[in-house]
Amino acid sequence: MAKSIRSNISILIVAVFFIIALFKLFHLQIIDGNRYELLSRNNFLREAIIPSPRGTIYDRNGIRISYSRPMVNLFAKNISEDNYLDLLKDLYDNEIFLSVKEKKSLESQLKSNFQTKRILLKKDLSIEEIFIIDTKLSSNEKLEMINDYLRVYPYKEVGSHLVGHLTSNDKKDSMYGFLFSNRKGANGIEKDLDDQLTGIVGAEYFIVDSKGNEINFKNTNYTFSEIEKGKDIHTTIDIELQKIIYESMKELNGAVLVTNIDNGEVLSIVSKPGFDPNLFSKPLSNNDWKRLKTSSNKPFLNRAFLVSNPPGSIIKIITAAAGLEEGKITTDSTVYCPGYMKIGNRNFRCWLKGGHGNVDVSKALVTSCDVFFYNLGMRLGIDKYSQWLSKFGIGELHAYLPYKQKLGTIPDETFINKYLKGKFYNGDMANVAIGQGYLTLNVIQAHKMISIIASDGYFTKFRLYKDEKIETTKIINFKDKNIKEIKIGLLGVVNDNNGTGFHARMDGKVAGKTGTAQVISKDSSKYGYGKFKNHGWFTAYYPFEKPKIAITVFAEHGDSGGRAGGPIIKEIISFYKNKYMDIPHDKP
Amino acid sequence: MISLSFIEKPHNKILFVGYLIILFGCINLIQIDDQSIISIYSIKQFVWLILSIFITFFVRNIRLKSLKNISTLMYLISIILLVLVLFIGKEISGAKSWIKIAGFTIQPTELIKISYVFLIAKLYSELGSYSASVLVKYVIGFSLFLIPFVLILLQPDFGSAFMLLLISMSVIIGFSFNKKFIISLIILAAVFALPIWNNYLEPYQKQRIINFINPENDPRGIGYNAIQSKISIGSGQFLGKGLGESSQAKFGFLPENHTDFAFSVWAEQMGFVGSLVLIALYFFLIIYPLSFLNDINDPFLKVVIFGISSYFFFHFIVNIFMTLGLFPVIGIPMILFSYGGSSLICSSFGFSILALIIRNYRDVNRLGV
Repeated sequence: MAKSIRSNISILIVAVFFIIALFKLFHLQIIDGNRYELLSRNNFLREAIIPSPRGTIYDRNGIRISYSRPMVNLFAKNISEDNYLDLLKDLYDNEIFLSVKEKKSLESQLKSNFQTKRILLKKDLSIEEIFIIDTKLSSNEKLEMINDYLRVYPYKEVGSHLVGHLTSNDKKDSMYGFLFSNRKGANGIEKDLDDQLTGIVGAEYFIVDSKGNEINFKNTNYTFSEIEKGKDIHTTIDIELQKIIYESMKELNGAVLVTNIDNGEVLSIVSKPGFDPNLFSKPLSNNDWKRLKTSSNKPFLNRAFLVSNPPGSIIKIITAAAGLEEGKITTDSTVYCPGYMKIGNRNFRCWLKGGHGNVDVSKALVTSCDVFFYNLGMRLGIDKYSQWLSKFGIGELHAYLPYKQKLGTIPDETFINKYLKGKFYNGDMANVAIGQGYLTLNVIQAHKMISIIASDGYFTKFRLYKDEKIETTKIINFKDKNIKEIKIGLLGVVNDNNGTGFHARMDGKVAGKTGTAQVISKDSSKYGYGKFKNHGWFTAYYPFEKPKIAITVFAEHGDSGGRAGGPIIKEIISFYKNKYMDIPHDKP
Repeated sequence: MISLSFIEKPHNKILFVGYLIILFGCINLIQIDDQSIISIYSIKQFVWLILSIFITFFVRNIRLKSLKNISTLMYLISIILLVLVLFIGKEISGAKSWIKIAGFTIQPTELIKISYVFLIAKLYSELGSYSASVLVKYVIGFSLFLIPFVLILLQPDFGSAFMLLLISMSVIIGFSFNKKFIISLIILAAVFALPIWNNYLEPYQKQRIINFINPENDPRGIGYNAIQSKISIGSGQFLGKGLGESSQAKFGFLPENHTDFAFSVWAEQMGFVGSLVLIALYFFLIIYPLSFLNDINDPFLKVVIFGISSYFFFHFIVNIFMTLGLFPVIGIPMILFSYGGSSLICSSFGFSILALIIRNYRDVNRLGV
């Protein structure tokens, strides 16, 4: 090897290797630097959640319907099966006692392969316990108190379906396990506005070594990020009214809706029986779950939305409106009711055996004369009639409301072709015109109907939240004369001597319509209470002049809408009058 | 200025750069764990630094001729120690590589690398540099290499054996180049590689080689070190996290952070800029002596300069490739920079010799060794 070549080649080889190293170094530190920086941070940082409280749900008057109560939980760190008894003794000596259940849970946590970094000792400490731990046990580094938040529903089952409840969230915190404040909305308002109600959790970072052991390291920037409470929600609900309704229903089950006619505000939506949503604020015990699930009166069923039934006589409002507006009858037209009507070769009876004699449309509404509406229904025909049902929102979903809904059925062309082989007889039509047979609806649909009548053909979308905008549309262009006649009829239902709604009579200003839905399905045998009784309907508005509120009562197996619903409507109106209408005289 | 005129002299440049690297090594170790303010490794290494300064002063007064004379003895002592270590050696992580003499724990493998260079330099120079047949040189070169190589493999210390292989091969090829030889060497290596792989390599060594191909496959397995090293280096980014801020080392993610992966810690703390400075120092330390090769007439000194430079080069490049994930993790510390007494003494002896030769080669050119 020539003299100079040895030196040059060796220098060249050295240089090549150095350049390779430099390229790789550049690649790692400059091109991929950010990625590796992130990797190195995750390598030694462990995140623990600092719980944040959910937003509060307020009623229209600022009363808390649902809020998060802080609770303090006691955790232990760095304990094992070998040394936990010392810790328990230390607690015991300072009069902090663990229940048998808590001890069992502690032991099973210690045995678990999926241990969290902290072991839960005791949930929801009392003030005294917190004080003891803060003072006498403050030197014990194994103990740690952590805030969590428990969702509280002070009105319990009263608003359970309306407000909703929480359910578990699969997110398990690596440090503290499952936190109550981590639960999410399962239904109702809690689910609808879950994103807003959920706060921003804070995070605390612990520095750990490669074995996952926590290291006390002072000069670190990675302490925590701030928590933020969830947004408070102001609803249109009057929780006191909701409670009055729930209580006034006594042993009845069913649903009651109260809304403000002018602006669509929902004051109350009661579905009874309810259940205690507080049970769902923490993991539900198996027993509670079984009890609720197998309960014969179906407490989870939201009867305001998820039950559809024949409307009974309350549908006569639509039959009357359709007849008048279609020009099949005028306000003066009368029909003679002998107590029955022969359709084909069958006699269709009026509910009043002796008959009502000559009735016009308003008297027919007052007395709920079946024969008048058999007659009118057949004159309208199912095509026209089903169009009118649709106009009033029967068979329509209120999808903007955060509740699952059952559609109900309208015997329109599609339905007839699909289920009735295209045949729809006069008898079928007569039945539908008085709210029996193939027509079913849910409570919110019935409520929309009365709202449209009360506001002379306008409808304002139902609203649950104060900051939602008001949306009013004209649904039906009533002739003044026609709508007036219908409303006079509805006023008579409650206030005339022979009106079917006299149970709701109070100051002469209540207008409405009662109905009874015949229970014919075999399903009814499932219900424990009054299982063969008919369902009662009562839909009303108040006051007659410039109506303010619409009320719909559906009384499951309530037998008669008037008898079951009347007293409830009276309670609602007198409460509403007291609270919102009467000028207080006793105040200066 | 005194310091400037000191550095202007070629041999002092080598000493300056060598000690700067050692000093950086001490600084690098200052806060490598979270236990104390200054890591015990840093303090110990600083003590070794002081000791190696004595060695430099000692080497300064050596005559180059006597260096040639003691090379056989040095080699023999190294071989004896390598045999001894197999019997009375301390076993650390599966290998008997350490021997305790008069309170000092020394690693004979470090000594043999330098001794080998000296002895082969002596023999090559005595053969009359270019006249002797290439075959004789090969036989001598290989026999001198094979004895310690086998002894080191018996420890077993795969990394050191590999380093000895690289150094001796570079010297043999560098001073008795022959095409046929290179080709037959490659064939020979291919023939022997398989039996060695099957019979001789420890399972963990095989794993290391296999995992080297894709370390990310197995983050908690044997490839773990390589990944953590890359995370350390990469996370340093342009300017580094700052001294004492190597989270990878502090919290135990990066193993062997004071020895094998000392450079990773430096790269994490000092970033690309700091790494570049360190690499530049090494580049100088290796290239600068090589640039004198043409000016030196004496064959003994030529081989020594070449051999010690390749000793530095291979140690450095294998380690940095290892930390960068370009080479399997074979347990070679970064020469001069990583913690370790034996290695530091031998390597500072190495660059002191380089400085000595560069200081005196003109006289030797005139007068002979």
